[in-house]
Amino acid sequence: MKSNDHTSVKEFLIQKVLRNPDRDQDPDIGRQLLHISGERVDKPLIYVGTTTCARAAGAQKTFDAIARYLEENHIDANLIQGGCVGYCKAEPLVDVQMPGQARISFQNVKQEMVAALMDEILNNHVPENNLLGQYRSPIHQSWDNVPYLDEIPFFAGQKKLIMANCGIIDPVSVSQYIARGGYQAFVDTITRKTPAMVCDIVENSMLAGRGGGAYIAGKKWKISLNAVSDQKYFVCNAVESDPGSYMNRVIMESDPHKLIEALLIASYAIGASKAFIFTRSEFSLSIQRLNQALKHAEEYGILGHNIFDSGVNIDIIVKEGARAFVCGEETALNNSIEGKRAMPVSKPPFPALKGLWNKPTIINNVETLINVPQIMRNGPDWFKSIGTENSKGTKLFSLSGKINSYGTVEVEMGTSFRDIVEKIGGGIKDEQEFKAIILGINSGSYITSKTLDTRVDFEELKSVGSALGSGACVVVDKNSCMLDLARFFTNFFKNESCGKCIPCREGTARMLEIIEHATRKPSKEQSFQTLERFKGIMQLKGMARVMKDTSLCSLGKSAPNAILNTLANFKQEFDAHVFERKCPAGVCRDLKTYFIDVDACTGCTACFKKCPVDAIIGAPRQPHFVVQDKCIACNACFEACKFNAVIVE
Amino acid sequence: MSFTIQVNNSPLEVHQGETLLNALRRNGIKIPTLCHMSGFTPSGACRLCVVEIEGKKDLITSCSYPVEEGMAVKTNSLRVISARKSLVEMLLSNHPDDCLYCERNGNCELQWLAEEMNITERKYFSQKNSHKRDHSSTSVYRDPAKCILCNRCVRVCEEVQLVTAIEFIYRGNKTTVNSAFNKGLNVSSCINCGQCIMVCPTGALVDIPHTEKVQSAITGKKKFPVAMISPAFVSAVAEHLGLKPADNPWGLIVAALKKAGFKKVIDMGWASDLNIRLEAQHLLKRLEDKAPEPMLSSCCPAWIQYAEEFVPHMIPDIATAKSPQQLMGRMLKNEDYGLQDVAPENIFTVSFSVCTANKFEASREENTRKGISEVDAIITVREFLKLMRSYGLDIRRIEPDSFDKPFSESSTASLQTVYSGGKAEAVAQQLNHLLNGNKSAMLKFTPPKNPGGRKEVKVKIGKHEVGFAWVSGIADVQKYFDDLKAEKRTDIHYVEVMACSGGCAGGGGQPIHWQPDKFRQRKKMAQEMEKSREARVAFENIQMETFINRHIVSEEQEKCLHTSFHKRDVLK
Amino acid sequence: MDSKLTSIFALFPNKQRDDLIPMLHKIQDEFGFLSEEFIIDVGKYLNISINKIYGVATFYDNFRFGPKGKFHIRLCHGTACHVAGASTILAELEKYLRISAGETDKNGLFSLEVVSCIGACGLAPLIEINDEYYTNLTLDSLKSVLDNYRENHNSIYEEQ
Ligand SMILES: Cc1cc2nc3c(=O)[nH]c(=O)nc-3n(C[C@H](O)[C@H](O)[C@H](O)COP(=O)(O)O)c2cc1C
Ligand code: SF4
Ligand code: SF4
Ligand code: SF4
Ligand code: SF4
Ligand code: SF4
Ligand code: SF4
Ligand code: SF4
Ligand code: SF4
Ligand code: FES
Ligand code: FES
Ligand code: FES
Repeated sequence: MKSNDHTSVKEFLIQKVLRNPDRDQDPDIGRQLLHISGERVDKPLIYVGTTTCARAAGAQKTFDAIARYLEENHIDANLIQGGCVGYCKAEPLVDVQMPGQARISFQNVKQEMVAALMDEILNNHVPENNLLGQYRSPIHQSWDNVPYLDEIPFFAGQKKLIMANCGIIDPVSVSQYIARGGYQAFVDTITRKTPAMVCDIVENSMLAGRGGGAYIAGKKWKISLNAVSDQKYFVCNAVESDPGSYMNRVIMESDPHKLIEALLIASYAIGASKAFIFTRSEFSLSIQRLNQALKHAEEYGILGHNIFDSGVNIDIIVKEGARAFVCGEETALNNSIEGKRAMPVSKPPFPALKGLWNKPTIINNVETLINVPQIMRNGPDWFKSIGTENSKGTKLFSLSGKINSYGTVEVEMGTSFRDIVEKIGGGIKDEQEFKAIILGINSGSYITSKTLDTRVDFEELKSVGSALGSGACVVVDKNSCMLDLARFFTNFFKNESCGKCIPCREGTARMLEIIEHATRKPSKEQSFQTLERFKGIMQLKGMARVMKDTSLCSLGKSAPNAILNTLANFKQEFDAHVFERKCPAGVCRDLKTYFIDVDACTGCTACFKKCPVDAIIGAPRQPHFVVQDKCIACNACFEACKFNAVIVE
Repeated sequence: MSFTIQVNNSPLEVHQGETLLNALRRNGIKIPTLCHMSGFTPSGACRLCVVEIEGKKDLITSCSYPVEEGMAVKTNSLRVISARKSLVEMLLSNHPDDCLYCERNGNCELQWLAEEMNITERKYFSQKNSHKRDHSSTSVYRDPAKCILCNRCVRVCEEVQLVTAIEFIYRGNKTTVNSAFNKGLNVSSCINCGQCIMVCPTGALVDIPHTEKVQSAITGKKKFPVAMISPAFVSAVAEHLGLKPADNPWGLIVAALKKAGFKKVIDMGWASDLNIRLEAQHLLKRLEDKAPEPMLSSCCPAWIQYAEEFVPHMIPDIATAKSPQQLMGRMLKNEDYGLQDVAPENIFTVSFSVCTANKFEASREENTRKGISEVDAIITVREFLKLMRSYGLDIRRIEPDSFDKPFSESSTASLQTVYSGGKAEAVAQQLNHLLNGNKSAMLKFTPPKNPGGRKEVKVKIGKHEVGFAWVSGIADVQKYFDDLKAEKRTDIHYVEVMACSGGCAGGGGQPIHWQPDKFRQRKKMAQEMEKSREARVAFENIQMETFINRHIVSEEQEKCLHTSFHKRDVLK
Repeated sequence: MDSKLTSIFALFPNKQRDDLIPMLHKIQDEFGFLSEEFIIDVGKYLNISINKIYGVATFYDNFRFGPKGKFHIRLCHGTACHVAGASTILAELEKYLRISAGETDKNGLFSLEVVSCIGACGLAPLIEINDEYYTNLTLDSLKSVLDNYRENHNSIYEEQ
């Protein structure tokens, strides 16, 4: 059977695979699936990861160049817009599957490198440039002298379960997904398990929410399952609004069918006939791929009315948000879906009982959901065997910042942050000194050099005064100013507060002002401003307590975290700003002092001409001086001086 | 079902399903609130109602939290008290220090809270948001700098008035309450009902003041100031100041205004009687013509504006009689029979009213003739009370005076117009008179027993079986119309429509007093005052009857008593 | 009414409140921004108060009420980009373009928008100009990118 023969492939996959509980017994089926899944090919199969991050690195251009190359050289090969294995540093990534040979990956393939690369590999030669590694394969011949991908440190420390398909399969192809085992769990579930059984299994697996709250998913589902209502909804929270995290996007762009399958099972488990995937409008590629995948799944009868004659009806709709961080909060999200201002509402009533249009609604994060198909397939005990005592399964991180190898990583719960930074991440860029990991804005918490051995575990993190957050993992070195970061976070919260309740709306603005007082030099240092600065710092803790105590939603409750955690972990840095008026990292520009080294100055007047506030005095060919009272620390003189005579402290 | 919870270590009996705030307040435990409005879904915006519940990590807002069996609550722990105080301090950090220059000075919920919480110093020195004020409306003046975003006005305007002229605009710290495109209220769909002013806890929404122009008219030499006092106004002042009908509130107000410099003070109830007379005539004609739709009352200017903006197809069914205020102005400024010794252009008519929409009504083009407006200024009860204070007049301590002739008499009917349902009854009584003559027995409505049910009465008058209905609060009004249409009803012939819930007793120019049942107390006052009137039905107002019969003789003159309405395009 | 607008409306035959945001998205995609007229038309079509619509539109950062420049610059200012120096890039952009974030310059050539996390944190700091990414920016590379757009704007625009 040819894999391009669509109708017969479809019939085969539906009848022999999805609707056939004994599919695994028949070796013939297994053999055919290898063809459909693209693992066994009779002509070259080329994947170019064209996810958003890869596109930013130029992957679309690489893809176009390969297409042109194939056409111009009349080469019969399949070329696919692929997903992302999470290794941002290596983008654009090109994978080639030659007949009989193990799949091989090439990194940083810019468009101009395409011809040389293709010339070699399509002739079964491994080029010297761009080589990343090869996949291990029991059915293929491996390449000589090519490292295995799983030996590369970035991948070696990871445990790819939920990302197993990412960057490997054609994201939108329903046949490839099914051929690799997809949708089987769903079909088995609706034909052989009751919703209550599904809820039990998921609860027993101890799968906890990955969106920040770590609430046991199955427990939440049961509330909705037991609610009596003519209509229920399931919502996948795919807003991923924490700046610095992009794991959910990677999943949606690389393996949309898995998310769809997960959402189908989850909807079935609570009796919802309508499900939404609520994401951001900027995720246009995710939206596009999800919609394509939905269309393909629908053609297979996996979605919609009376799915595989089970009597189950489930529709999935992708909804685009319109940019507001607070949309990630459940009740705000519901309001946004309903077409309103995304302002949170007080709980109770909880969405599980009164959510969208006042109907029982369960909201789960993408990453939480994506675990469900494998739990259904392998059972709760299998899932519980992964991870630690309290935290089960794996966790995705968006690793970025001052780190050598960055990208999306999946680690087993229990992995230490030191391993993430040093092994997977390959250490700090430019051999700088590690300072902290920022675990997302929402949690506002840090891992410092003191807590670097903490493991990824909800309880353990709590015990060191930290929280896992959503999975953003931004590494900073000693060149980052923690107060500047706290200011950045607070400014973020001030801009993103919905404005509904007093503590958050006014509190974030006041906190920002206080921090700005500390990180900025007032135009004229007056005694009362100094007083205000001290007073402000004294007020921070009290204000933070009230915000945590009284804010309506978690946005306001977590807004002060960054400042509190900075105070707790980087007290000296705080004090340096407040008392000495110095920024140890040299970031807070406004605290810098500019002066001119009399010996080095040639009197060329370049700085004099550039200074926007006439803070520099001096005659030509005579040393110049900075009038401190006037200087606004704009750095223009520093840039202008060719003789390194301007000194910044 | 009831059960007991622990509050501040003492047991408290509560009802299943009620909110904690409700339970606490019912039992006399004071909890500060800013965004709470009973009868509305909780907003949860202000957080002032926080209490501590044993076992909960954070404080919770009592206004939205249902009572639970076994809960232990602390309403006055240090944690609660200081959180509340901080919240008010945070609000104040972005609030103008303008109490001395503020309309609501002394009557402001924020000011009270600051005082109650013993805030004696400015905690945060901060950049305040700057805002543009909105003077564009004829009735409502908005100063967004004083707005604390409690959402009360928005909810009233949307949920009770169905107008949605204002909404939250922008987000976070930049949020304001405004109309679309930040344009003024004058181009919005606002119907000037003033209900938003009534619920605003601060000075962010106040009247467009007419006090100054009135003061200059009464002190200047050129103008001949005449005060027209509506029955609703008298009952509102009486209720507010705790006067009894026996104290002669009419006389006290007349005397005070005379002292303040008004040359004449007349009873607008006179015109209410006339308006009832005109509507009854109109209704009779429609009954005889077998008009398919019910006739709709025309005396509420906010309802008129709503009709013009939202349901213009109903305009043909609205009574054409001018409202009492405009009738009165029209009478006074008539060359032939008004104040004959003063030229109309020199007369300065001031309507003393409980209605902010009257300010808009007076500005309507239809209510101006030859460049002379029928009514020159409207003073709301709030403005009146301030005016009296600024003149140092305590109206409880002056000698009553009486209204000036020939507009000095009014019937019980005019007082009936104060509250929802009263006018429908008065029109029915007048119709009864038209058909059955003077000797017929007094017609009295037996109000529907079910208090939440439809406000409808059917009576047999002559050969006609006439259905009367009354609705108030635009949301209820619209719902009633929708129901009539859906049920294809033909048995209702007259609908009294009032824009404010409860009628003018709940009017937008009343003293600020956010109590949902305040209008009931005012209604009670009006009903007590009714007893002191001799004339019980409009037609028994002999002074009015005689005047009309003498002066309104031509068709031309008859026309002056009517007005017209037209479709209105606004940003809605 | 604009025929393009009519065809957008036709996509929403049910006229539900939850059609509002998708509809605004479509209008903005088509016309570049939300004009007063469009908002009024949407209100009439969906039978929602335009005050409500304006309240919704101003709540979300996505919606703009004035036209974009020929070249629309989106600067990421997420955590990773901030750590990599996005504030300096922003300051430079504002200085160079003489506009603040959210504005369009006088000639309608450039407009500037700050977004949080484009999802390519590894390449921080970065900007996107009409779907073209410029990554790992420095002040110098930024300047040359912008200079290039400014000098060759006619030919670049046609190309795109
Ligand atoms: C301000 C705010 C932003 C949030 N953003 C997200 C988000 O981007 N993605 C997400 O899944 N959850 C987010 N959450 C958490 C959700 O409200 C919710 O708890 C979560 O989606 C539940 O799913 P889970 O149980 O699978 O984690 C946010 C919460 C708050 C308060
Ligand atoms: S805490 Fe902030 S985001 Fe949440 S409801 Fe209050 S103002 Fe809105
Ligand atoms: S830093 Fe700027 S303001 Fe200060 S001296 Fe140099 S050029 Fe002038
Ligand atoms: S640019 Fe440098 S060398 Fe020239 S005058 Fe300034 S400080 Fe002196
Ligand atoms: S609104 Fe209240 S607190 Fe504000 S200035 Fe007026 S009286 Fe003072
Ligand atoms: S209350 Fe205080 S501040 Fe205000 S006028 Fe009186 S003394 Fe002055
Ligand atoms: S006056 Fe009435 S219609 Fe106008 S904004 Fe206030 S409540 Fe709404
Ligand atoms: S204007 Fe008044 S009622 Fe409206 S939100 Fe502001 S403070 Fe509240
Ligand atoms: S009900 Fe009375 S107070 Fe209210 S708007 Fe109508 S006339 Fe004015
Ligand atoms: S390349 Fe996909 S996450 Fe960066
Ligand atoms: S009264 Fe409860 S939050 Fe405002
Ligand atoms: S923070 Fe800039 S791309 Fe993520």
